[in-house]
Amino acid sequence: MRCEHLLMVALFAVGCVTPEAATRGVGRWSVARSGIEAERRAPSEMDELHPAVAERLREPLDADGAVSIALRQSPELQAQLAKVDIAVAELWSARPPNPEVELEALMNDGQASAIEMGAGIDIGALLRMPLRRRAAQAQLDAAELSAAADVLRYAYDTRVAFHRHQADLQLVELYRTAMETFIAAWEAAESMAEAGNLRQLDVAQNRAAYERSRVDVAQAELKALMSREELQVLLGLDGRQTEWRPIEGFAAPEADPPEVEALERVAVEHSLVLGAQEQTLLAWSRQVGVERMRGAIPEAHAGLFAEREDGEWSFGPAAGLAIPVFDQNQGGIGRTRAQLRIAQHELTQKAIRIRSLARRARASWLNAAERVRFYDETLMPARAAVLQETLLQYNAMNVGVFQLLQARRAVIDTARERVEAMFDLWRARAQVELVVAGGEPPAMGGPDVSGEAMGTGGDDGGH
Amino acid sequence: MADIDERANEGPKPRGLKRRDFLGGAAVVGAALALERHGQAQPTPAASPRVRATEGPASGDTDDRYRPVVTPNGSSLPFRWVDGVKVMHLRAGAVSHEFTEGLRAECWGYNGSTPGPTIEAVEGDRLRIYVTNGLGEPTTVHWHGILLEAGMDGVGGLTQRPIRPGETFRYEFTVREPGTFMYHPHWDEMTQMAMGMMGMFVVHPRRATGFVPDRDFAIILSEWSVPIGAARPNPLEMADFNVLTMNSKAFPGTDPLVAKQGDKVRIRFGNLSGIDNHPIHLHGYSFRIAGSDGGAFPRSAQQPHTTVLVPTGSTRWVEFEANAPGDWAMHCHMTHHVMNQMGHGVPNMVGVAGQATFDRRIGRLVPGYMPMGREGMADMGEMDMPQPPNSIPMRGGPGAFGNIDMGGMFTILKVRESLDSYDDPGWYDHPDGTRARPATAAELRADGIEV
Ligand SMILES: [Cu+2]
Repeated sequence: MRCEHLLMVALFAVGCVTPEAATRGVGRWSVARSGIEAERRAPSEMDELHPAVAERLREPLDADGAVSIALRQSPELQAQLAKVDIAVAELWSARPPNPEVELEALMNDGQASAIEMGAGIDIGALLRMPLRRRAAQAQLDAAELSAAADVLRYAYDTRVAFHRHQADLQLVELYRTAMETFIAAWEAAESMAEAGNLRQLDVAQNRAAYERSRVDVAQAELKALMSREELQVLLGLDGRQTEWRPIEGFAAPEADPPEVEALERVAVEHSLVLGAQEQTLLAWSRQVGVERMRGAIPEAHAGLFAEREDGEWSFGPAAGLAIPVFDQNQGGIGRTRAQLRIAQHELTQKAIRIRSLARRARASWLNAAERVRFYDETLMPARAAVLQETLLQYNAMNVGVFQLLQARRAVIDTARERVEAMFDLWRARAQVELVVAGGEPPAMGGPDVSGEAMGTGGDDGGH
Repeated sequence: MADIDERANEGPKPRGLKRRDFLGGAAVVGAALALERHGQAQPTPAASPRVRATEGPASGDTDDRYRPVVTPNGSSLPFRWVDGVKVMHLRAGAVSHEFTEGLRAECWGYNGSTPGPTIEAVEGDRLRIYVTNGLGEPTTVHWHGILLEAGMDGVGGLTQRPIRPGETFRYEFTVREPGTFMYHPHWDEMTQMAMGMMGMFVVHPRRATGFVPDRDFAIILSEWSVPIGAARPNPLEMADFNVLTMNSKAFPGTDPLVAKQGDKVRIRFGNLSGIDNHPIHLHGYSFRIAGSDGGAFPRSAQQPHTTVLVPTGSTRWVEFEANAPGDWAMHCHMTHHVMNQMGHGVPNMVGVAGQATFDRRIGRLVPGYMPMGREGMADMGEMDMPQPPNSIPMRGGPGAFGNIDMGGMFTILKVRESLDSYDDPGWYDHPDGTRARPATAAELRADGIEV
């Protein structure tokens, strides 16, 4: 049965899976298979940097480091985790009904001439209680699974934001290098004009190309700054911890994605969203039982009755029962049954969706990996060969410095395209990992971190 | 005095008569002359060859009526006598040709070479020339400057249909006039000549009198476009030629012209360049321009020159006596024609500071970058930097005093007081006090020169 399975996947407080433990609001939380550990912290603690986070920030940050910081330091994530408490509270409402006590006294000249006392309990509620409690338990399980899915998604968002920032930093470097080629061309034109060999027109053209390249650099720098702030927020770091820096470089991951059948199977098996939906389904089916019982026994009280009259107490049992002649709670039953059907359809829909997301993530990975491989094995070497051959032609005095610099710029342009492919690869890889861990990635083309929107820069310099 | 002079004085007359003239006479070939046939290896000038006054022998593959021309880097076309007719065979086809060490290209030529072998005949000879087309496209051969029947003129479409690939055509005509001529295709000329299909055609006078050369050289001038690093001439190029050749060789690939002091020297130039005329300048000598493909110039009209302009589509021959020993440059005087594979679209760097800021910047951007051409471009030939494969950009050749920073249409006339053979004698050994050298401080002081 899937439910047992999902229990293992579920978010739980270490050493104890009872909701009571969760309500304490602290403790380490981990999501099975994902290697993701979140730590619930009290709001009052959040002002201080978690010791592990402080430790991490001393070294250059990698993607795993960024995720581990976010899981400890992000107030947004803590708020998500605290939402489980709401479900826990729901469970409290499924306690036994409180007994009711009635007291009636007949006053005569300041004296109670007659007293009636009754104590009873709502038998119907008492009878429904185990069912209601089981329904609430399923709701709590659903909430916990959803929270686990949110943690995974948060970790994913952080990871992707980190890679975006990494990519943006690479782009800044590449735009700066491109600018260097434009400076060199301008300086060369200046020197040649000084020697009397070039017209001022050539100098002006080269200068204009250089000035244009500065705009590219500025835009790239702004973009890197924005993606850094994006990440800063996801990490939960405030203005006192802005000195962190990411690791150098941006190498390709080694692994290959799993086969598509296996991936779809694992995605469905591990899906926390599906697990939560199943628990919701279970909760509604149990709620149908509750409503049925409410229909069968709409109102029933049982208790004791005591009466004092003329100084004498007399006791006796008391009971009251509504006869479900006209209202058998058809409304409540119908409503919950409809909810059950909705939940059933939603489960199917979510299963379709998670399979599709798994396929999309895998396809994106393969595509991006192929593109990166193509850049690494074919296009970059091809560009490098052009530069090398141009250098030979330059040595042969068959082309000049301007053409040489142009060939260098073509290498840079291709390197920039490669950075985007590399980012796509890391993002797709994170999506596949998210799916395998049981999370749900954003649909591509949706509100995700977008790729480079800037133009490829001006090639209007040189000759 | 010379046969040429006589003709010049005769003025115009029907040329067809001349053959009948010599058909009547008879002459014997001296035994000594037979030994002289391979004149290239025989430095001793022989007596004036006398001309046989009959048609050729009935058989055999030799002709001892003339001293053969020397085609530097080339050869003469073999032949066979068949019933008094000189029979030859040209095979048009592809040639892997080396312009000079370091540059080889897929060219077209005749009988395995570009230029094709020099055709040699004697005024009045009946020639039968078979032309086999080994190209992938049709061709013809036009006998440039030869006066013949219209149907033998070799103009595709006009006087014959072109020779299809694999086909062999037969041309037969009598060479009526002595002189310096050429042969080349007259079908898809632009392509076929740009690919190297051409050759010299020398007709020796029936009776050699007057200036009888001891050394008779034939050089055909042409120009090519071989993109630096490429390996096939580009026939589509119209203006920017980068390989300029003498007998399809660019210096330092050109064989020197060797003569012994006192030799009478004739140099025959033909020019089949795409668009350029070439003013060929010879150092150390004053020569007479003695004729063109139209015939010999009257002796009285021959002027002394040191440079002969050889227009494209024509020939010139010059004559002089090798009386000044030394190594003498002979080259086209168009400066871009004595460069090897120079690029013509590069920005001019002359006068730019040698290690400018941008040089350091480019050095960081492009490893291996070196500043170039700042003080001039002569150092290019000696700079040891990687070059495109199969290219000779700006390359010169070794000389007696370091690099000779020349290329293209450049060769050397080597005249020596004595020679054992006409093989390359090496560099000239200058007598003491006859060579430029650095001035000493004492000399400068003595002559009041301030530097
Ligand atoms: Cu020239």
